[in-house]
Amino acid sequence: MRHLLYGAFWIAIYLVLAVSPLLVLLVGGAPSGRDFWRDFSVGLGFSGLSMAGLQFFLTGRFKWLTLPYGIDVVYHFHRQISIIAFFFILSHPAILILSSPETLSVLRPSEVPWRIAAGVAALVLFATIITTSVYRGRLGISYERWRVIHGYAAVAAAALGVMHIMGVDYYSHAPAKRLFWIALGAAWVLALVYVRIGKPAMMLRTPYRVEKVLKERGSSWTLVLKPDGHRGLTFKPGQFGWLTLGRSPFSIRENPFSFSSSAMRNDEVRMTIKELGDFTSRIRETAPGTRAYIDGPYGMFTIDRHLAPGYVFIAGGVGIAPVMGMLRTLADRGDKRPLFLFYCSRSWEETTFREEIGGLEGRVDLKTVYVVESPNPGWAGETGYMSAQILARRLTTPERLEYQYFVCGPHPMQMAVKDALDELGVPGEQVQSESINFI
Amino acid sequence: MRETYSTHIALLTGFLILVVTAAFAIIQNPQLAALDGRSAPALPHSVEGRERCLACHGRDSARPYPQRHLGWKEAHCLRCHDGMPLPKSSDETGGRSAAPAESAHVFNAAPVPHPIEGYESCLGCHHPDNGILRAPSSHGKWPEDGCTGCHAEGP
Repeated sequence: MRHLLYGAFWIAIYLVLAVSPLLVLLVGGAPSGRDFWRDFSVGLGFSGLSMAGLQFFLTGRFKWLTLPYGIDVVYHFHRQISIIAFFFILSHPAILILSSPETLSVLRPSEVPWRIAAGVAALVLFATIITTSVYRGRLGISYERWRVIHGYAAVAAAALGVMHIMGVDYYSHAPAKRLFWIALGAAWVLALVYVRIGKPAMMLRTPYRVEKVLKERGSSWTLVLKPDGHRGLTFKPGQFGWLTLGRSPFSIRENPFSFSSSAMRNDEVRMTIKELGDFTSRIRETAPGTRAYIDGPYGMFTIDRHLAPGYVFIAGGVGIAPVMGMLRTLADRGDKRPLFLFYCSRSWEETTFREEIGGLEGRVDLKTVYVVESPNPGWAGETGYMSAQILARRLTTPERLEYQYFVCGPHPMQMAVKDALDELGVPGEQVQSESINFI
Repeated sequence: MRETYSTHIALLTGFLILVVTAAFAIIQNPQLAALDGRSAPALPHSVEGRERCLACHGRDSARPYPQRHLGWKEAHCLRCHDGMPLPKSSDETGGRSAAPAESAHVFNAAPVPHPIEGYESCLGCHHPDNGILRAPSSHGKWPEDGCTGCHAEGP
């Protein structure tokens, strides 16, 4: 309940801040209204730019902000509200031109003033941000390059947007209103300075060193990281952190990975990473002794936040990484509660951690069901994809409706499992999932 | 699953912001207070008979309104400039207008060297394309009933 209220509080704050330029005008007195469509288009521009500026806070990984929802929800909100903000910003010139076609004359090369050029440039940059984010895969842009484009384009677009408003100087002419926009812009810059300078500077005090790189089944690698000159990281099982490897913490190149190690050990942190992209395909080349930094922990995908008489883990592929973190922690704690693991993989050979999972079955009350997509001849276990039938067949205990369910894997698998659990009558609030694909 | 949750929050938030923005435009629209401490330049000529401001001050005319005024409607001009109430439409004044005395001073327009009375149309002789005594091509977009707005009847 406390988290719910806290969450509602931040949404209300976001709303007020997003429309604050309009509230200032309404409360503080505005110059002459023109016609509805013109004022509506200007209002959309103000709201859209304000929402765009607030993205610097949403992506700042402030723990006080992410606590009620989980950082995955905040990042997904950032993605969705960015698209809405972009359409607000795009509607601004579109409505102006549709309601007054002569407005197009400002785009004549011989006449275009700097304030309009700034607005057009901001619009182009916002369009670039949205396009490269939504279609990054299709455009063949690597995650690292995308982050660089995203970061610089966002700063430039917000700055040009404020310049456009200041240049047009209609609703921002009064000194108090100019001061308001300057303060708003300064707040965005402060958030950015904290994220890009303040936080990395603090991370310099807690470096890690790669002790070894372990080859795992399923084209995956586990980085074993040791704290270098500090007490290490305290995290909850199932959480994740942003890893900067072999670079300065001021580098924009960092990637989110789940902790696969036990939360009961802070003398080392393990991250299990599958070869999927530019960065991950080079993990195997990481030399022991490489300097690393971790920004974390983050995430709500943890048994410590969802207490229950038993747990069911449903993992697909490298989605086993946070689940292993939870299983190892439960084993280290000597937990006696019943645990079920449904683990989907392409083949038995690619089933990551299968040997260790066998060992964990002796330390905790764990029953494992492997679901193999392409089984070898003679395979007697479950085959194909995860389904309600497999769950019903293997999860026969009547207490299953009391358990908490943790689902981690590819998005289609997560959706299929959600439907399957729904079919079995498992309440939605007992199904936990988290996606750390933050693009 | 959690993505659906954040999508719902985003859609709800976006909708509420849209409502506040529309409310701003509705509240703002009828307000006609003066600009923040700024006053619009007074008109250098009378408005009577020249209520179609854009005929002479359209974007493509010889004396266009400033670029910053783009998007304002013709009916808005007199709300700030001169503060005078809107005059009657040209229909009500019978189409052709009397020549204001200050026209020549404002636009430096040459006076009409013949009596106006009795001529049905200025363009009959002064059409910019095919008149016997063509008006300058820059006058092409000006309405016929606007001629005497600047060109006063001469002595």
